[in-house]
Amino acid sequence: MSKRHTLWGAAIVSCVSATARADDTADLQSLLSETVVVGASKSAEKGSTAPAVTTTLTADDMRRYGMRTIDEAIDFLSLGATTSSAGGRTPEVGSRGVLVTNDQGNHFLLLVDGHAVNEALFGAARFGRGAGIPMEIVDRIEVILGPGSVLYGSSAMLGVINVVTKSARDFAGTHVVAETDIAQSFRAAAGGGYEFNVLKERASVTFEGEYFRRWGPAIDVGPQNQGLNSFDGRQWSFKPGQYTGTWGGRMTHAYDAEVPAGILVFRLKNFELRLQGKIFKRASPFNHDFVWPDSDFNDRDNFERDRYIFGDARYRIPLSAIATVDARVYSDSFDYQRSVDASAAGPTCGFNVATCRRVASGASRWAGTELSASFDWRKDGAFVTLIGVDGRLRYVASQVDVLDAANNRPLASTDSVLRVHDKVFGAYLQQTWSPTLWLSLNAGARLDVDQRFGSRISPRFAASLPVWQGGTLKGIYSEAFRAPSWQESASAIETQLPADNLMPETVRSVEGAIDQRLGSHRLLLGVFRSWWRDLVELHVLTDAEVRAGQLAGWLPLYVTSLATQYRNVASIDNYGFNAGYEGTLGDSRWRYGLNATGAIARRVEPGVGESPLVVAPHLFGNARISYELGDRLPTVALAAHYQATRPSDRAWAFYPPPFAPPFGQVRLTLTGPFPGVKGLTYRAYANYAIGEKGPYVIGPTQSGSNTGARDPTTGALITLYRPPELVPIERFRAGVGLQYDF
Amino acid sequence: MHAPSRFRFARVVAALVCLLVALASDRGRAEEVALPVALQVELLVKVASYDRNFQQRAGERAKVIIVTKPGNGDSTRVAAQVEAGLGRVAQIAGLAHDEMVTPYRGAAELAELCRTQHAAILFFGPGFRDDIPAIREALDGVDVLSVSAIPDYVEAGIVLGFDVASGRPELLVNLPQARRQKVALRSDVLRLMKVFQ
Repeated sequence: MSKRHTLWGAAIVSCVSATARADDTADLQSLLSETVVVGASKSAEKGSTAPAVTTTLTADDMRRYGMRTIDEAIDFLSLGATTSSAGGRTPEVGSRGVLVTNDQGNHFLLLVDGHAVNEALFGAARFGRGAGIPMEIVDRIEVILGPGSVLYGSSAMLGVINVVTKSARDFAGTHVVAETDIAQSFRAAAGGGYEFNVLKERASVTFEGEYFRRWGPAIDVGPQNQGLNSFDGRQWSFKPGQYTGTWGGRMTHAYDAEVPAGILVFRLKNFELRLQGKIFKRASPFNHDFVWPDSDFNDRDNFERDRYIFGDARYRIPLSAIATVDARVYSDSFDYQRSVDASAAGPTCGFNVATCRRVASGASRWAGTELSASFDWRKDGAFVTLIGVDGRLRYVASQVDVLDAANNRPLASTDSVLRVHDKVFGAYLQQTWSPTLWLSLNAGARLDVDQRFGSRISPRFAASLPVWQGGTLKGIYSEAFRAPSWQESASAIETQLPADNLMPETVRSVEGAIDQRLGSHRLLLGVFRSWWRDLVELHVLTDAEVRAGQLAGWLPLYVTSLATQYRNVASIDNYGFNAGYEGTLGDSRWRYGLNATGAIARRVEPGVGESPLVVAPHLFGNARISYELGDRLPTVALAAHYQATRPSDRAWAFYPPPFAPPFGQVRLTLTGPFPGVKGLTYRAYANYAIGEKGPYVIGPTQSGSNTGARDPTTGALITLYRPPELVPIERFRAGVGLQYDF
Repeated sequence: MHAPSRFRFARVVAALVCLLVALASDRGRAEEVALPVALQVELLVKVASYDRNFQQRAGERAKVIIVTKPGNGDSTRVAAQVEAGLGRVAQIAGLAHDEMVTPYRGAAELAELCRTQHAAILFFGPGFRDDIPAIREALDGVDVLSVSAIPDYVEAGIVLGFDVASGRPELLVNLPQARRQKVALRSDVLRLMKVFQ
């Protein structure tokens, strides 16, 4: 580090120290700036000593900085996690340099009040509008970085995101919300928190329902010239009856989405009941090779839809001063549909109709129970054992149909049919021990049993100790796994072999962090290294493998290329650092924060070599500052986030490989009471994006060259060399909202 | 004829749940201790040092009475955690201190105990929801800092309490009751608290 940098660092530290010393409530403020997390070890504990690096995204910050969804809150406020999305598609979440594109969110475990929502067919979890969680009812979002299977089982590879809803006391009264992204969307929501007596016992209900609809913005893409279609010798068609060979133009339905959703929590004595439901329908404008890239352009009948509902009932039983038992029963139902229209003749539309409609449907339903017991052996919280079992029955189904879009009449028999029941079981044990004032230990392991791959043990060891006044040092070793989704382990179509002996993905991680508090200021520095193994990917079969498959009768003889099979293909080596700073000044009127992550992640595939991960930025972070003007005046907040350049999702199919330019957003938000109307508040924001393109190749051009059609006059094979087109990014938007509390 | 394995599994689960519900039928009700007790203890020690009457109230050694609700496991556990937590603290507001855990036998008796023991701090865990109004009445005029692990108790009449708001600790204070119990917190500290008037 240069001398100048050293001087700057010293100046900042001394400035912060002086600020803290000037106020002799600094020690108290330091304690009040602690975070409390429940997701890291299934009990409330200080964030600084929790067995993971955590960020708590508070309701106040999310409103103040104009956050409307979980993914936005992660990008603008969180340490170590980042998201990426293509137009209106569901955002993908990555952490510390690793983001697995097209994973449907299945490498992060999403919890709603401790209830895992990742389902079994895809392992899917939605982090954008599709999460279906009205933000007003959210008390906080805990972003817990690093492998977290020790208590939760599958999918917690990058970490755990725990959305904690407000209690009836914190959400007291009735709340009505209306907001709009100007000329793009609107959202209406209503909810409340009420406490009352039932049979002389205190009970409460907290609920919120919302309806969101988005219809914009329109974007311009293409043109992409596809030339002749090798299947029928005509120009490619991207609209019924139009054989122009060209894809592109003004896309007006790229961002279409509709989300009715609601959540309800009822509490009575030791009993809690949670219900959540949502329907998430969105446009499916940019498909990739494995879906149907030659789908019709700007067709509003191209869509994806989730429907999801869960119920979760818990009963807490304080047996004695030492033992507490928690019993939980839950049931979830998820179904999915993707409908894609295509007017071009192709491998899945070889029928004599104007437009084929390919409908992929899936469902997963599960019910289970979790029993856990906590033993506070010394009755002082210093030596606590947590033991639990979690058993689950699941049903998974999927199929693909090809219909005539004109009348929904089947054009072929149902393909890729999957109907399966299974059982999964988990048992976990966690021991916390604080042998002295200066040392806290946490060790645990979870055994997961899945009939598809046997068993998997996920351990975690963590230690934290105060090293000086306000400073806490912690070290963590943890492992996690992701069971292959049923779609990966069992699905098959004509050109896709069913997987054979698919193993779970695994990750091991070791990390260290120091958390320094000084008055209302907090600084966190951490380093990490993780090793990922057995990543499940759709492997493109070699010619020899295709031939072997054909000889065995698994593949039809006409298949010559692009036959695939899910396999444990790759590994990832990943290391880097996290740094975060936040604080307040001037009676907390000034609030600010800064997070940065730098990481190297190399994907390694035997026989192929090393490559960087696509879509995942190696450097990203965010910064924010706000000021409360006070009285009836607004709070002014400015937040920004940044992602460095990154390879696009089709990076290695083109030469030179496409990289998305650096991307960032700056958001200015004003919040405050509406003048003259008690209980009415407003929020207005303006958002500007830096960077014009995102890291996803869109349109039918999914690789740098295409050889297939023959010249109709000469009969020669035509090869097109085409540049990639990356998804355009919406540069500016603004929105306003009103909330009435009564 | 054997039932399919998934039905056997479901039966076992259902039986376990029924057993636990039956076991729990009269084990007392849960009141949520929102903030980890260890953090409550740290905050309590800090706040006490900002009470201008604390040293005069306490004398040479600060007496902390921790009240438990008989038959309530949560209450006993929280009391033990508070006692253990305070045991690790050398001084409260510059004074050595003693802890005493006592079962609740009534509001009047508790107020008398505070007077005779010259209690500086009176700590309540869970289990006192129905007793707080009587306790508030009984403690009127008694020079003691009453503290609760349960946030709801503050509005009902306990001077100081702890909550979690948006994932951060929150201090609650019942200011009228504080005046009645001669607790005088500095204004710069009150600014950091949620105040019930």
